[in-house]
Amino acid sequence: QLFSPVRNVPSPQASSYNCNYNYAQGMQGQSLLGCSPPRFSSSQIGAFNSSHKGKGLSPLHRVFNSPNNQYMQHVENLSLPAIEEFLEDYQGYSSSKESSDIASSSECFDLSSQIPPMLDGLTMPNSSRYHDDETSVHGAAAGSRSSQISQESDMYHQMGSMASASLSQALQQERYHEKQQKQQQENLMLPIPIGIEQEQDNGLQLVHLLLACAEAVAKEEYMVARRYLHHLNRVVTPLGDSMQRVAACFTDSLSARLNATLTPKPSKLTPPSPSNSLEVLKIYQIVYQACPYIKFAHFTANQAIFEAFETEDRVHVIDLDILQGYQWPAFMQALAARPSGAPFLRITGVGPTLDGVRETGRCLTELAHSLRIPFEFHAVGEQLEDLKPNMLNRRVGEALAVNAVNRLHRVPGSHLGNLLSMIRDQAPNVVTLVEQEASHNGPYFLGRFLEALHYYSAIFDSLDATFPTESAQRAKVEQYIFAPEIRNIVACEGAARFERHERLEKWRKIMEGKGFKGVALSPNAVTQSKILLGLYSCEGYRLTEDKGCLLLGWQDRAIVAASAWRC
Amino acid sequence: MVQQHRGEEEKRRRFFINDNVDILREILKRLDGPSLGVAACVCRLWCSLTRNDDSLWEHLCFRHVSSASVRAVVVALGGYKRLYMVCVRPVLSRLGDSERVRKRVWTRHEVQLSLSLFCIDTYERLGTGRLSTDASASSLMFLCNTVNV
Repeated sequence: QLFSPVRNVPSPQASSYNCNYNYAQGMQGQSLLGCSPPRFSSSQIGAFNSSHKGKGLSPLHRVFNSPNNQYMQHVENLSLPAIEEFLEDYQGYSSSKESSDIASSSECFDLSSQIPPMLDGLTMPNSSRYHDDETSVHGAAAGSRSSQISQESDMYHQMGSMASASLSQALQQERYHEKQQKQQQENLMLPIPIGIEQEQDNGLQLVHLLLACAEAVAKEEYMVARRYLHHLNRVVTPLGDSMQRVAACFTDSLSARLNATLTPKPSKLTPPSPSNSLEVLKIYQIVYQACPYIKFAHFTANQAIFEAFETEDRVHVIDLDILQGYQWPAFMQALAARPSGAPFLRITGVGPTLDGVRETGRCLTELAHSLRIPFEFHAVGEQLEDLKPNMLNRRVGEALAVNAVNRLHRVPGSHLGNLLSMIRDQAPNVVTLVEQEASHNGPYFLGRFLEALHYYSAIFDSLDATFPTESAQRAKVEQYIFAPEIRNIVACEGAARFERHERLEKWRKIMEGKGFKGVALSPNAVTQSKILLGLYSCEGYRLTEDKGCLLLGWQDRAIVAASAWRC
Repeated sequence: MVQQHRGEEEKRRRFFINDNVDILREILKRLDGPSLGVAACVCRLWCSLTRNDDSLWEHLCFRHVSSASVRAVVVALGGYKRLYMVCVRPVLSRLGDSERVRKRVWTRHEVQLSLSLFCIDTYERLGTGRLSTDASASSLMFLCNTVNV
């Protein structure tokens, strides 16, 4: 069973952004779970802090670090009280345990200064104390709630002085106040969407609406959720900036989820797929060409395999998801350019359809022929769950590499163990694993939602920076590649949810649990990736290293993680 | 006496570079990329030379990496001229180097990466008939300045 990974202490980064959206994972009784902070080696921290300013940050990041909203450092946690409540129902969460572990991050504790749940929090604190530009909109709506505001102000002061005091007291106080307001909460009108031009506030509003809606869905308060969706649909647009587009995808997915839960018969959640597979191929090609993620994955894996095959004469590569075979031309070229000449190369390609794999094999054979590499291709048209050892066609005397780029997360947890054992039994020299670096397989919907929101915001932001503005190609990529992923993560449950991304830490545990040992990626791979990233015109891509594995990210969010294993 | 001098002078004046293709080739080999492009516009002979003689372009790409295996790979993938046009030139511009600098020292990694990208480009063209994409689609497009589609 794959759960969200548990992290003990928030990353040492002082940035408030990363410390938040923490929720407890009851399973192991541990305290904090960061949804978003990727683990970077400490040497990178300085770089990240400096990157917090300026444009080109992920939209969520910008929204939270906007200088206008100093209170955001508090309010960004405003989801926490509600989540805590929600989680209490689930696992008897103990605050005392949390307090000792949270102690290191003081900013998280400002959150304990009472922030009313999002419904109120959206406009009230804005108008009461922190906004410089007094918008009368807030004033009008605040009429009936001025008492609340003063309550909050008092609480802020109280909490501020108490910040150094025991945390558990603070949390208890907070819960008490929160329960007081909860009754009023039910009858409150939803906040009117603010018509402020400031991009950060709009983004903030979107995020709050999304989170509120997701929370309502998680708590199965469907009427509330519908109201939020109604508001969201008025505000988001697939034609706006990256934050709005990402919000549009999430809104659609939330609607889909709501509909799926409410309609009695199970309706198939088919995303809008292009009419023919040729379109899909073209769109995949666009992503492959324009963004470095896939190229990084391929080149890094190739480098690891190439180095493992350094002195071999007969080599065999099993690609667990060969698609169009874009990974292998570069590999073949590296083999052909070897001073000792090219080895005898066999590739076994696995894919969903036999015809597709055979077609790829034909192209690869042609290329190998022109490169004068002795080559053999073997096609396997099976789902990974149905893979049998004899299909892998292993021969004695050859070096074996197994390549799994962005495929293993789709294998259901029950089959994953068997698959990995089978791979291990084949005695490969190296297994390369590249996966999306996100924790989208947690058991709790809200946690998944938060994580996905951060992750895809970063991706959409990178797409925004990479493609020209108003690019039709970017819209296609977003619509046909990432929107279906979002939809699957948010709207589907059980066996229907196949985008089960896990973080590198989790994959490490899985691989090590099956008897694999990690192989550190060589400095050559690092250099190569650096040069590759240097060829891209936009500035935001970041390369980091984590215990021998490489991660490619956008700004401060890791997107793809590459690792190599042997057994 | 004067007639002899005049004869020699005429002989000297009648030296015409296009009559000596080998010398021409040696000279063209030493040009940088943009100059070679300009040279291609001079006359038909120069044009056909720059177009058809791949060795003229070899010196622009990885001059310091002259192993036979690299040459075989490049030739198999489409030749040095294509390598230069499609790959080396955009890479140089992205790496911030002027094309006029002929004596650039390529690191081994840069060479490998460029060759890999070139190979992917060739592979894409192999599969073009299958995908029926237009000829301009290329995995190296990211190296060019983005154009609004």
